[in-house]
Amino acid sequence: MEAKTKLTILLISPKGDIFSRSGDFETYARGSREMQTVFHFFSGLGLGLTTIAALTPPEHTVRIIDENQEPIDYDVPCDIVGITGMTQQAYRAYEIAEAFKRQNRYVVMGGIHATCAPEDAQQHVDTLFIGEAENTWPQFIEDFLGGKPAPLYDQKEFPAIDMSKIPIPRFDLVAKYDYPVVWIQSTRGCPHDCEFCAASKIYGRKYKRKQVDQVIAEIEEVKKHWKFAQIGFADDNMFSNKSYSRQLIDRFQNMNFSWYAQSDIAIAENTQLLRDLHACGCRMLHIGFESVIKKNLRNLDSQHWKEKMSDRYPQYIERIQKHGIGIYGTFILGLEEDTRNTVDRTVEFVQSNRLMGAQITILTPFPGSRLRTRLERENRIVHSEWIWYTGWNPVIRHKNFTTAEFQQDLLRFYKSIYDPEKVKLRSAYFREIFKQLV
Amino acid sequence: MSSISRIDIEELDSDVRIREELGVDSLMAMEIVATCEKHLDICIDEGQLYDVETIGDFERLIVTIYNEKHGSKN
Repeated sequence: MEAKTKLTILLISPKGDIFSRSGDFETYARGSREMQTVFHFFSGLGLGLTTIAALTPPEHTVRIIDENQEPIDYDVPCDIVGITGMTQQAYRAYEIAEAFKRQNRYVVMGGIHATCAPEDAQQHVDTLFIGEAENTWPQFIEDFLGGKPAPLYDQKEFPAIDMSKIPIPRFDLVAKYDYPVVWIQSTRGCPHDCEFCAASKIYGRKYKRKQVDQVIAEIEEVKKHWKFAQIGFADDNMFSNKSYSRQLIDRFQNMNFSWYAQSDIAIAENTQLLRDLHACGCRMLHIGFESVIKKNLRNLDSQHWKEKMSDRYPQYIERIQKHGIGIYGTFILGLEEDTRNTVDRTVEFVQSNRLMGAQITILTPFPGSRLRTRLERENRIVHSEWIWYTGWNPVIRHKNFTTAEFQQDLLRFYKSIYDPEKVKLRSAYFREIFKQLV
Repeated sequence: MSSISRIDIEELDSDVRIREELGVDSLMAMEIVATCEKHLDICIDEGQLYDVETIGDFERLIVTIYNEKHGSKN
């Protein structure tokens, strides 16, 4: 039989539970207008599959399925099924992999969960990818066509990724979905290496970036396919490199799009940049404050950076938001010093600093994180079934919380900060800011 | 609305739904309201926004509030 030269590849992002599996929480969230806005922000697709599609030589046919948007057809003809996913999607990813393997399809898996829990993921697939895919995927395609695909491709065995060589993601393949937010990426890496975060496991601690022209081309491509979508930058810490940020923002001034990004609080130290951010369409920054209890921040990152910055939080929050950029603050419940009083203190922080929005999640020892190693050593992990690794379900033992108390406090936080009267007060604050800015 | 949502004005038909389609969140809504209030010298009560779904609804609301305060120009 003649060897195949043109492949059909099906890439799948499994259905996930971005939010809690707790029934009480789901009931509340479904009825809350503010929580629906939060869902809206997180409804886009990660960049993994569109990037993989772009790395596939053009003679092959690629189709992408976002299972949050449409069901999977297991009978669709294809040579390779590629599955990605975060840890909260892992259980479903394994189900999909097994279903396709029963149909004798060649199944591969990559993404952050596969990278951080390779021994676990490898049991369910024919080939596993560890780390970034820009080198490993083209090599796999070549090997597959040659009839000798390897069971494992690890980026560590290839040269470092040069982001300037990454092609524009194939947004056209997911333009069939009406996403309110489309994610793109300008940089990879974060200098802080916080204990709970596994990002450095996938990207390393070195901060790298795309060329400014590349980013502009990606934005233009997104605008071609979605006329109303906002752009979300998936970068873990977008403004770490000051001169690069400056170049990017200067180019954004001539473009017409609305966007948001993730940053650390140090962006407040550059008031000119803040002015320009608002002028070029940046509406919101996600900033990880992690905790309002200073002692919790002490060993979060090896440089104690967040602990050192914490005294400046109120001043810096005000400075950022006065420029018309809302802050969506993120917090963790379940750090060492937390008590049943922590949620009240966090609500007070959100309200007194008039944060535009906030999120609190339960400390979760994701695979690949230093936190997981520590909590394993301390015998404090009570669930290792990935289905509970949403960040909104407790999977750890804590001296001051039972499982039920974690969930009660989480719900209490959201009900409190998104209480209509509190939302009204924050809205009035921003209304005054915008009047000053007009 | 076009300059704040940063969507080309040609795309802003009166039947476009402000939240679901245009993706206007509460922050952007406040910026739009504050801008209208300042430019048109009007005051918009937040409760009046609750039933606004489309660009046409918002336009009608603004015209009504403006006329109530400054009198109809027609």
